[in-house]
Amino acid sequence: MLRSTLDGIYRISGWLSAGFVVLIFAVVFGQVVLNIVSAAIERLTGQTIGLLIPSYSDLSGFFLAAATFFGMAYTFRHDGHIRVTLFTSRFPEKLRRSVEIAALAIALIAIALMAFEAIVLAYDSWVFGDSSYGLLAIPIWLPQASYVLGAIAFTICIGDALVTTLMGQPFGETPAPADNSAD
Amino acid sequence: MIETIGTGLTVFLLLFTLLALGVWVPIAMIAASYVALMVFTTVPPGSVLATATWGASTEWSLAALPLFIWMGEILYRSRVSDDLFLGLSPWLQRVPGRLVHVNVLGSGLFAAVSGSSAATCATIGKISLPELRQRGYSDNIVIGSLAGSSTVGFLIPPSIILIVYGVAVEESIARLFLAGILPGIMMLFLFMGYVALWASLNPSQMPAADPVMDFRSRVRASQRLLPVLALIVCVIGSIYAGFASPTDAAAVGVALALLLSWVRGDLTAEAFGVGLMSAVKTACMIATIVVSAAFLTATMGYTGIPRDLATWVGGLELDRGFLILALTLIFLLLGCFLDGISIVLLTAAIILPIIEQAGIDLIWFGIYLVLVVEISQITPPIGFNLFVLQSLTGRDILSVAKAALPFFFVLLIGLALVSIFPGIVTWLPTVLTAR
Repeated sequence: MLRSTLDGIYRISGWLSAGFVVLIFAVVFGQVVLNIVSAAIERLTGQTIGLLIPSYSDLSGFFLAAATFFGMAYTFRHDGHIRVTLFTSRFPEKLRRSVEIAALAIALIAIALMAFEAIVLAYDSWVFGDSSYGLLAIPIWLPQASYVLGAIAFTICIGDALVTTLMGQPFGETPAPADNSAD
Repeated sequence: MIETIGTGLTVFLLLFTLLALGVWVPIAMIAASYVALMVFTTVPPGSVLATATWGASTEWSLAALPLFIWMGEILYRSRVSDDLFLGLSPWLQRVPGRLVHVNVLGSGLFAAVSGSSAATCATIGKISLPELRQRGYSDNIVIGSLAGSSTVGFLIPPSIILIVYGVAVEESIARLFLAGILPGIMMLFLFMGYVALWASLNPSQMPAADPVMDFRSRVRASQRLLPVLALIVCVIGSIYAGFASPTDAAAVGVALALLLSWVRGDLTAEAFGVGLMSAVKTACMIATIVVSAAFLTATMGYTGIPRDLATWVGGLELDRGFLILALTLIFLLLGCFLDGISIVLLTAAIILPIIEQAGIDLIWFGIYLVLVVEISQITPPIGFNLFVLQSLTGRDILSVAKAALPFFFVLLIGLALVSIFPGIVTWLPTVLTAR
């Protein structure tokens, strides 16, 4: 029950990440099409019209941030983040388990800190009413919410991995991190 | 000065201990930087962490990264591999080395629509390995040539490593892409030269040629290359023509790759979903390191370590050649246990001032760095092309690495050429951006 709820969170965060990758594509490709249309109209009528998706580079930047932060938990769940297993894979079983727990504990502290700082960042942006400089004045806390939510999901995922490992069960797709073959 | 060197050593020791203990690379960077700021400076680590990571995560030029990765995933799941093999092979029956050259030329063509060496290796290997083995080519030359020549995936634009490098050192990604073309083509010639030489020296290990097709059937077979060539022209051409940024070109590439695989019936809902989620994983893995490295770079700036390191190395008055040689050895050593992206980002965070102070052109240095990283792609124990080939062939990593060894030396020759004649790198971007 708990297992499937947690995995559901990671899966949804992965889908959100995928959705934002598609959005980056839509915005950037949309602007390319508009550039081509503008150029064609200019060629035909001699009039210069710069068709623009408002705040196009801001938008794709924010979508990129959202894609990255939402993707973190999903990627971690699927052993996608890179690590050096050259030394630890040669450790005897017992030592390897202890080192794995230590690595997860360090990761949990670091990412929990990052999530906390993300909350502070977004809260400050909200309090001070910061917004982007482009044509669309997007309130910055809105895209920063993706940082907050993504970092919280990532923290939950690492905590999950730590607890699972402590209970002696395998986390991730490969039971033992024998080889660093992340794609 | 002595103080900063002590600080520097402590920070590096901490970072490398965390890495060696298997802490995920981006998390090790965050943890080491946080501790460094807390212990050695008076700046609040938390707010630096938040602002540096947020700033890097919204970098517009980095948006090219997920798009190029996605494009590669779509093409990997399409029939491009078959097209490249069937389109190229009829022309190579009479060249010494025959179909082994498909590995080299196929890698070169696919590298021009893909940003990664591992993706190039997997896509070309998917079809050429079984075909060549079935015809009786010796396993060693087939595996070795694929491992070696697919490394041009990073050199021939688009290139994921060059995007990451460009963002990290604030150089134009379009210029870096231009700079990679000639060295990439040079490497393809060197690889083909080695394959031809090997085949001439070992005729007994070469199987008989396939029946030769007449000219017209060969041309007909090559028509299968047209979609790939069109893709190359649109994506790369639009960057060179100067009307599209690499990010725009990446979006065009995704659109065309989707169109291509849809027209040919390869684009099932399942293939689309699997490709997209796989791209999410790879792109997120890289972006997470980029974002964390931005925090490391900011931290390094506050501690003053890179600046003092540069002053110290500058004081040694090293010869440029000697400096390059020393750096090469350090990078090859790092490459034994770190991946290419991490090496590039650590370099940008720590030793960039040394490079700038030595008066080394940052565009040239980017290409040099990519070549070194490519070499580390095929050296054990950590080499991504080796992992890809290991899973494609079912042979263990050491025997794959042994097969790739001659190509390791060919890459070293390429590195030496680029170092002795820097013009191979700098000529094209200078000529094309002088307009």
